[in-house]
Amino acid sequence: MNDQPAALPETSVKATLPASAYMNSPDRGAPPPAASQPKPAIDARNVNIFYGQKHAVIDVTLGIPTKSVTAIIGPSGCGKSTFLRCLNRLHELIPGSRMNGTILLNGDDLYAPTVDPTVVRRRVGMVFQKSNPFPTMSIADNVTVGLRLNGVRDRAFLRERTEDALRKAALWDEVKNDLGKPGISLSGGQQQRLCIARAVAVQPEVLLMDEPTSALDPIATVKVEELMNELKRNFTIVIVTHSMQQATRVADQTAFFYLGRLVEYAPTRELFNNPKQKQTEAYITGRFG
Amino acid sequence: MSAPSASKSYPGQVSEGLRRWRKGKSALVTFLCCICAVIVVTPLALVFGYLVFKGAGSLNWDFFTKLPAPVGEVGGGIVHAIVGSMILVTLAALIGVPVGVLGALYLTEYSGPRFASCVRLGADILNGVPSIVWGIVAYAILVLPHGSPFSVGHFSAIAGAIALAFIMIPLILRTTEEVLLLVPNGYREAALALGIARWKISARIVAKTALRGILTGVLLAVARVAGETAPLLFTALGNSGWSQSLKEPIAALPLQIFTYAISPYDDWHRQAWAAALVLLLFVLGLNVSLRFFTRERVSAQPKADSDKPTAADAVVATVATRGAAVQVQ
Ligand SMILES: Nc1ncnc2c1ncn2[C@@H]1O[C@H](COP(=O)(O)OP(=O)(O)O)[C@@H](O)[C@H]1O
Ligand SMILES: [Mg+2]
Repeated sequence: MNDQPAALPETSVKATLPASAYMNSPDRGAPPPAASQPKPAIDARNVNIFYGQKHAVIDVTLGIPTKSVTAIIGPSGCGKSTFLRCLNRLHELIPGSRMNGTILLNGDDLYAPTVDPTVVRRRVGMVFQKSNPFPTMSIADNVTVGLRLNGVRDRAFLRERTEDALRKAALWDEVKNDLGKPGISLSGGQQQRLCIARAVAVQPEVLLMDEPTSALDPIATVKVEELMNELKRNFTIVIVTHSMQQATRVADQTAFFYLGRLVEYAPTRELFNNPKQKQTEAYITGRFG
Repeated sequence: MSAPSASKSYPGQVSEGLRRWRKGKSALVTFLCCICAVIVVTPLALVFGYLVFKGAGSLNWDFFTKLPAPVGEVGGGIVHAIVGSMILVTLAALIGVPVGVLGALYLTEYSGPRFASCVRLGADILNGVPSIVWGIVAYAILVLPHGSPFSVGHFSAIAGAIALAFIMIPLILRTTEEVLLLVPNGYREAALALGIARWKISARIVAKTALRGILTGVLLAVARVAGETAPLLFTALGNSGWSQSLKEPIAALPLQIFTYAISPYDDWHRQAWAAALVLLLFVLGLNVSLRFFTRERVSAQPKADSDKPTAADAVVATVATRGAAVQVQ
């Protein structure tokens, strides 16, 4: 395995920081919206997160460009998951957790007092490390659960969405004849793609992925990685990964976290080939981690 | 390759005598354990066998369809007690199941850990309260005239049902809570991340995942109160015929058994045995159908090309079987 992303395809390299300067590359199929003033999809400013006394994320400011893949890497316990989960306000469920700072999603303050966290989570979907299709539901029901439990009744619409989401998750051809089977009857990799389809079906703006392939075998991992390249046509993707190779394969830009701080954030190729910070260099050359 | 010869010595080898002694000891302990296991199930076989022996002969169409014959005459049946038991248990379940299940949902899905552990302790204490105590309390509050604002003023079906319901509630609360806690947090998080409202997650995902376990707990609680006698003696009292309203005393199988057993008539003794057999068959039937429920799920094996489906499936199965385990404690 080679950590040097020398063979990184040129196309995955985006503009340079600051993040607000990123825009869509037309060759990705997505027209750059308002190319004159490219805004990041997520704009996190001075984010601090605490678990009781523990200061887990320290003053992180990070802009995540729209319709691209952003990787967060760093040694375990450095606050990657914590930061990711504050982007959809999922960390709030942990008693004693506190957050301050600002997070804007396409300009809307996610933590404004009038904002309902449920609505935030409809706009920012999430895929977890351990695939978790609902065991009581069929494949189709798993895909549409986010819609159905939010009041969508129209059968034709749900069917349409099921196919659309499963196609986006590159699962349709494998399951189109088994839509009524239990979601948990699929293999591990298929289950994870089912979870991606489930998240995609509610058409969020952002898709968060917390080590989505760390429980998968290499072949399933490749499928999910290829999928991310497809998904970024439609979604902004933030992925936490402990694998630097994965970051070089899928991410347009990469953020390196260490001890709760954002140490360095740059286009992936630049971060790996030419790290500006000593800590980054030490981490990517395997001197700690 | 040749197999190592049996006589070849190796480290840790022991003499023939010592080996025999150890083997003998092991066999003895195994045998004792086996005896104990047999002792556990022997009473069931004895009770069941004896009830069949004494009661099966009296089970006939009349027994299930007729009211008791006039005192002293032979024949008649206990249809009123069977129906009465059904009414009492159904009413008790209508009160007890929602309270127990919703209470457990609150504890696992909403409340803080301190409140939950207080309620848990309370429920455990209530589960240990002898049923005669429930009977006296229900009598004082629901039966005695002017006992309380809720008092009916006399013995009644409704008082009996409420007494049974209060025995069911802590049982159901604890079994339901246990199986809800077995539902992995990942499902809750996944549902939250889809922007689903919390109460919908509780009802449509968490409770549904644990449904078999919840049902198990409910049915075991039903089986338990179906045989309760003491609380009914103080509340429903019993009735030798049909009751016209829920505010009147009502017959029930355990009460009928009690009345008939202490009577001086041979024919009533016979019918008491038969009624006891019916009650046992009912409880047995509930338990067996429960096993059926849970087993059906376990054998619905998914594709085996990954260890995950079985793990996730096992959750549903464990959740279901745990209900039974908890109850037995
Ligand atoms: N529920 C929690 N309660 C208290 N501390 C936590 C909790 N979750 C995480 N932490 C702490 O916060 C820090 C960051 O954790 P996390 O974001 O999970 O790290 P990573 O995902 O980078 O491995 C760790 O030091 C961890 O111990
Ligand atoms: Mg993590």
